[in-house]
Amino acid sequence: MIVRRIPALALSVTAIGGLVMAGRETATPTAAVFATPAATWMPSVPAPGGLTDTWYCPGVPASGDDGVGGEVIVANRDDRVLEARVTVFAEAEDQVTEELTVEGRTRAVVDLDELVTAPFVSAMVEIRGGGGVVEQRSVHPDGESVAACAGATSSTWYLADGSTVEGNVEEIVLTNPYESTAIVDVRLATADVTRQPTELQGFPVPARSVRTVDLSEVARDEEVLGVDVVASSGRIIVARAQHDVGGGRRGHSVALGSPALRDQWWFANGAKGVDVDERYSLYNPTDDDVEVVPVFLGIAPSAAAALTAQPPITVPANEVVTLATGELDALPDGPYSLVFGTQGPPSIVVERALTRTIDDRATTSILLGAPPRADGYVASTWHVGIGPQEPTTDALVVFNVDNTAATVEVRSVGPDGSEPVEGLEALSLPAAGRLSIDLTNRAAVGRELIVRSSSRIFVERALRREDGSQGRGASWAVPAE
Amino acid sequence: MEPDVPIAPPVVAVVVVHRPDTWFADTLDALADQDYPNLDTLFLVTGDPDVESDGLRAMILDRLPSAYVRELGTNPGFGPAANEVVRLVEGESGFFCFCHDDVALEPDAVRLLVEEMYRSNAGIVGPKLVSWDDAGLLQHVGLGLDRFGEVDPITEPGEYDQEQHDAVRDVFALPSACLLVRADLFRELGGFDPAVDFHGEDIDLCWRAHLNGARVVVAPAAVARHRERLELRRPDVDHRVLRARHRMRSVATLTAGARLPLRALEIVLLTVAELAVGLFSGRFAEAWASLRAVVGLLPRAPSLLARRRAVRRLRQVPEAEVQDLQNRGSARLTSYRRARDTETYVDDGAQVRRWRERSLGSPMAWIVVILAILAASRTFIDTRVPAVGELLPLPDSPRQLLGDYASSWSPGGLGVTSPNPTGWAVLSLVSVAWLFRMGLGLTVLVVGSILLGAAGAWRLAGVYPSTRARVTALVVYAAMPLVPGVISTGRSSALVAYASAPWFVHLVRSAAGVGTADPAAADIDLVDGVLPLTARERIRRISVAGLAVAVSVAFAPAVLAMFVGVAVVLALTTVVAWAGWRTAAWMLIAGIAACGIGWVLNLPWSATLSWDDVVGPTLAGAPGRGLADVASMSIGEAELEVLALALYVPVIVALTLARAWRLTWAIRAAGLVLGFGALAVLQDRDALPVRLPEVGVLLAPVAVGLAIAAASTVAAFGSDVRGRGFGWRQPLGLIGCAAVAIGVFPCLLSVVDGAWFTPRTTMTSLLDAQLPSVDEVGDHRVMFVGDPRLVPVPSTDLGDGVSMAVVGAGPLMFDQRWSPPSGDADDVLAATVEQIAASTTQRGGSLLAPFGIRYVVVPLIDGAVSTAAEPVPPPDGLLEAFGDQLDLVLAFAPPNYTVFENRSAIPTVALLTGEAAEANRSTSVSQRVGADLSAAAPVFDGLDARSAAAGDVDVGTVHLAVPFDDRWQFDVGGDEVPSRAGFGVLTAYDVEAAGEATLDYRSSTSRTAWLAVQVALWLLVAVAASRIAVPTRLRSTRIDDETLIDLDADAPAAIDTTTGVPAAQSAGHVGLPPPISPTTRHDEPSWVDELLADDVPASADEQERT
Repeated sequence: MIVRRIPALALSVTAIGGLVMAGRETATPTAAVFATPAATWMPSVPAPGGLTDTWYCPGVPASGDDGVGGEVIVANRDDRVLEARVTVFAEAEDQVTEELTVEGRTRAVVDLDELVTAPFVSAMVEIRGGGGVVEQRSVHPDGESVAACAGATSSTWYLADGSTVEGNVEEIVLTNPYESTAIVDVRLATADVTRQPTELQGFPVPARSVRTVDLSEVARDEEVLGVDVVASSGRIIVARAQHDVGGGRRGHSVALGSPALRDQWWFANGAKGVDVDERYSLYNPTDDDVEVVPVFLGIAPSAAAALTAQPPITVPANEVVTLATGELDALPDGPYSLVFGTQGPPSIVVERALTRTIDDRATTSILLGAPPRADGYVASTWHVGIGPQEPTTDALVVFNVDNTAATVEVRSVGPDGSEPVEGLEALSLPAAGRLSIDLTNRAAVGRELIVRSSSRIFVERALRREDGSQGRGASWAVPAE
Repeated sequence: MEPDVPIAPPVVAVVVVHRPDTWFADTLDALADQDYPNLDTLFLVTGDPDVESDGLRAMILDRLPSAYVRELGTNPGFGPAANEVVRLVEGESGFFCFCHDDVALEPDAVRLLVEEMYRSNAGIVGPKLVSWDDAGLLQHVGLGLDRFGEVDPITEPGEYDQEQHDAVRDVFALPSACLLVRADLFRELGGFDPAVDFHGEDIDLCWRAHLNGARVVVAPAAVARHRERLELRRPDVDHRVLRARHRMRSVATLTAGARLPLRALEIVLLTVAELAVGLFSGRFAEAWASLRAVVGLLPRAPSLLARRRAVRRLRQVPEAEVQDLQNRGSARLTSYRRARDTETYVDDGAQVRRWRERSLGSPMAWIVVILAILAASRTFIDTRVPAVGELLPLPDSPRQLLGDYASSWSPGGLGVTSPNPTGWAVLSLVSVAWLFRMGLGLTVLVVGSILLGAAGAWRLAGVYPSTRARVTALVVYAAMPLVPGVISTGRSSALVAYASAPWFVHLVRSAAGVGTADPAAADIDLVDGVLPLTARERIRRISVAGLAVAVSVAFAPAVLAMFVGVAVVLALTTVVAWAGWRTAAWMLIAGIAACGIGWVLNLPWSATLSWDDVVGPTLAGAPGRGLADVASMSIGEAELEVLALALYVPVIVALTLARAWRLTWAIRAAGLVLGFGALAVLQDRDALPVRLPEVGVLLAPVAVGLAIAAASTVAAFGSDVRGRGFGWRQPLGLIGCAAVAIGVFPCLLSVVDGAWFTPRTTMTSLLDAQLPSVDEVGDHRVMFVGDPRLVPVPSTDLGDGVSMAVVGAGPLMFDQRWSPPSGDADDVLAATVEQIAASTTQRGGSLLAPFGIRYVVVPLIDGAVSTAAEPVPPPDGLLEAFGDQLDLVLAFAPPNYTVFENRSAIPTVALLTGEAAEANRSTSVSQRVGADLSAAAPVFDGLDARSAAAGDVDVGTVHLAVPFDDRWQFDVGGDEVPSRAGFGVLTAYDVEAAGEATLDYRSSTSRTAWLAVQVALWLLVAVAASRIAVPTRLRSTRIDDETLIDLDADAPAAIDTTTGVPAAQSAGHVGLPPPISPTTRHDEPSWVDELLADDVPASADEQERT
């Protein structure tokens, strides 16, 4: 035996053993990450520091008819002058671009129907250096609606509550702000059937243009109509223009769809009453049935307990289920808040259609629920770019997500900067409760408002409609990221 | 009483003596012991008589009282000195036996020579010369000669006398160390050529004898010992030059006139070829001496013509007959072939020469390996190497590539003033190998790399004196799954590592003095065949290794780190193997020094390389191949690589079975396998604290180790197992050998595939076809962003497993595989991409536009690393982030890649006006973002740093999308326009008046200086690596015969040409012995006279004289 082979053999065997031990389990490959895509969320105010902030507005009618139009409001809460470029898209691909300057602590309004005449136009606002809040107001003789503009495009969009019954017209407004054509597939779902209209499969949305699709032509007399739009190529903005004239509903509203499914949908300002017809539409576009639990908040504990005891709502795959709160005996009359939740993966989208009858005239407002961000984030600061134009009671409804009492402050952005609105400096917000805020102080009228809370909140806006229409339009304030 | 036998013919032994040493006593004793009855001795003592003491004369006369001692006073050289015998000895009926003073004749030598002289009727007869120290070692049995005057020594150095040359035979020449010449013939021939002092006088004499019709015969029965150490005794003489000069003189004067023109042409061509071969074979000095000799013939033409006239009278036989006696072809080639039959081995610190193991195995193995590699590459040969990974088409013009290398402008990426890769120059220069057919070049490079690697393994396995072991190493290395893995994924750095790794190990062991061990030394468990090297030889070998490293690094910087690691492993394992710390230290020193030389030779380019450039961008985490895949080198497309795991069995088997130096190499092999294997595995698990070159590079030393381990196993089985009593060694050895056979099996599948499993359609070729050319959209750039494994050119690490690279418009080329240097502009570009990633803007296109980036390519499936079956997913959020940009349009989205077109793009050289010009002046990104750059018109289309561009420009801002560099000179109307930074970091010129403009790049003068330094460094190392002898010292003193050995002299100056006597003697010298007269020494006519009268045909002159 040659002695010198012993250490070599020992080292080699040890090394081999060590390697086998070290490598007995294959390491899991790590995915490369270029960017963490901004979680698709509801329209929100981006964090400062961006080179540009781009806002995509859902679209407004701009047919040129009397009383029909829309505008984009850019609110600048900073001292510096905002420089922005507004691009207005219409059906024609030759869009209009306008440079916009917004002085510090002011708001600027761009009247879209004055720039372009088309059935629907939508605007894209690019703010250099970021800052500002962009919202749109759609004006129609049957009612006006306010909606925040989206901060990002998406390849998927969902809408839960539409109606084509008794002459109601539901149009989806598809805006493609990019330089290349988007191809989309539109699928419709009712309470018992799913449709994929041939003409809406591979539907092109040309570059930098708006296309509208009248769903009443492909799905007549549907009480409730869920929609999902999937872009096989490109990314778009999808909104719904709902013009209700029948079925117990009346009004006109334009609102963004939801770019993603969620497992939680919050509503701050629900109502049950004699003159109120409230319906929640729950759309499950997935291939699996989903059980949804509605949790009523801000009501008496006994009523809440009774409602909680009820069985969950089963939303079959690819169908829409409606919940009429008026049929819930356990739910007392009056305002309340509501959250729909599922235990599974994000799979539903929920909208609320609330019809109030005032002086025998119904007025319907439709509101997409507010979800927490995908990472669970719920803002404690919310911006109201378009506030009431005149003193209004119950203009804002704040719901406290946290189970601790909190303090809410409302500030208005005026020439002297952001200042607390007198009387609204420190409002008490109960734990897991709701708070209705009157904006009757002139300092809160016609200005951008900022709602801050010491807890996480949802802020729903109930703005009185302009003269010629009645009731209120429901919309969410814009949460800060 | 009269003798009944004729009196022996007189023989005069003529010994030229020059400052002899103690061995001279043996010479004298040998002469004194001769049994020849009629022998006289004449000693011609050369050198300064004042210096030569009387002791020498006394020493001679002490042993040979009847000897004649003649002091010549100077040293005219052997031939001229020996010619004294013509003057000093009268008569023609005897013989002259010329001897060196370091020759010891056997007692019967003279007698046997005389007998053979008569028996063969020869003119000149010579003995068998054997080694002075070892009479069993042959030195000479005559000499052969070719028509170029090259000597064929007939015997080999170190050849033992086994009576294989003991037949009497005609030879062309005999060494002057000892030869017996008929006195009359010697006089007839005029003696030795007086112009030949040392080297070649014997050749010349014998050649003239042949011309005269005399036979030259070797009589091996006569034996003489010969020291043959003239070069040591006369260090003042340039022997190499004298040999060449006298060879040329003999050819020029003795070749027939009709054949001389053709012979001259042949010699010139042969000398040129000899120069070329000598440069690489270590015989450059000889070739250089030949060239000097050829050239030196011209000024000597008059004396040569005189000599030819003198020789003409000797010609008695046709030239063809003489030529028949000469060797066919080249004696040097014949000698070389004969040398191949033996091999030098290293015993315990000394060299021994033994017969080579003759086997058809080597050529058969090489034929099989070459055919297999060619068959596995047949698709490449039929068509071309597909553009996969880094294996991109070679540039069309090697001259242009060389020009680019020489320029101080580095066009890669965004471009910058920086040294260019040495690899460009190397690639350009080696293009001559494929006759500048660059389409063929890549095939030659790829296939050649495989063959080069196999050849390296073969050379490395030369440490085994066993053909079987060398064949095993060759086959195993050529059959490594690493080869298809590397080629199918286009890893050019790994391919370079594969080709160079065995050579590096071979050269390092050579520089450490580790040679092929003597098989007979295995019995003493010789751990290594280590030969002490002179400092000069060690430097030479290190320089060779340095050159090899330099060339490798020029193509793949990553191998430098690998080489350092190999040197460390070799040193450590040498210590573990108890092979001596000196050997280990030399291995480490040689390896590190070679790496240092390699790095220095690549300066200044190598100084620009960062560690990131060397190791490439990082992945997001562990690649996750797994131990089995790494161990089986399954890093690409291949099949049944798992069988290659069997090659690890010999690693342990060799450690268990081998003995002596086989065990030492088995330990080194295990070190390479386990050391680099561990690094590869840990890197695969992302468990290393530092980033290392990619796994393909790390596996190259593993492959070398496996090949050596397999060779050790086979060698051990043949030497250490077979023939022993049956036990555990035999089955273990069989298992090891069987494992080798199993391990090489997967290579057969590569042969079947015919393209090394490369994809037929590659991402790069698709891109070339789909992306618009410069002609269509103007000058622009393309940016790749994605997984670094899929980006086809060296890329910049963006973190989290994402990298980016910028290339110019047009097809990707091989010269783009070198990392371009980066600067501030690259940082800004990277920051821009990060802005896009962070979604801080949706106008990323406007930020990319100033850099001329028109297309953004996200590679998805390259057909090699990422395939349709096993795609590498794109980095999260990449497509979304770029797709979110409003001014980037999805142009193409085939499965292989996604291409975004930048609608805000501007040409790389553009005239900006309006808002675009304002944006150019802004320094803030936020001011530029979203700016309308549509008012940008292309100017100077096709701008190239190689030549100036000219054209008309209007008022505005000329934007040049290269980092701010004042070496770009812009003139309008003959006036230089000052440059300024545009878009913050790029170059811009404000044109205030329209006019004709030129834009030109002024190359740096320091670059030219660096080029000169670099060329000088390469030449210096090349000289050090060659065997060219550089005179390092001059002669300390002039010696007496200085003029005699003057290479340019026509004739020995110290000789009185009228008398043939040294000048000093012609003036008279005391103590001269009376002339010896062989014919008058004895009164009676000898039987030799009778024989001479009867048998030897007298020459015409003799007859006339008679």
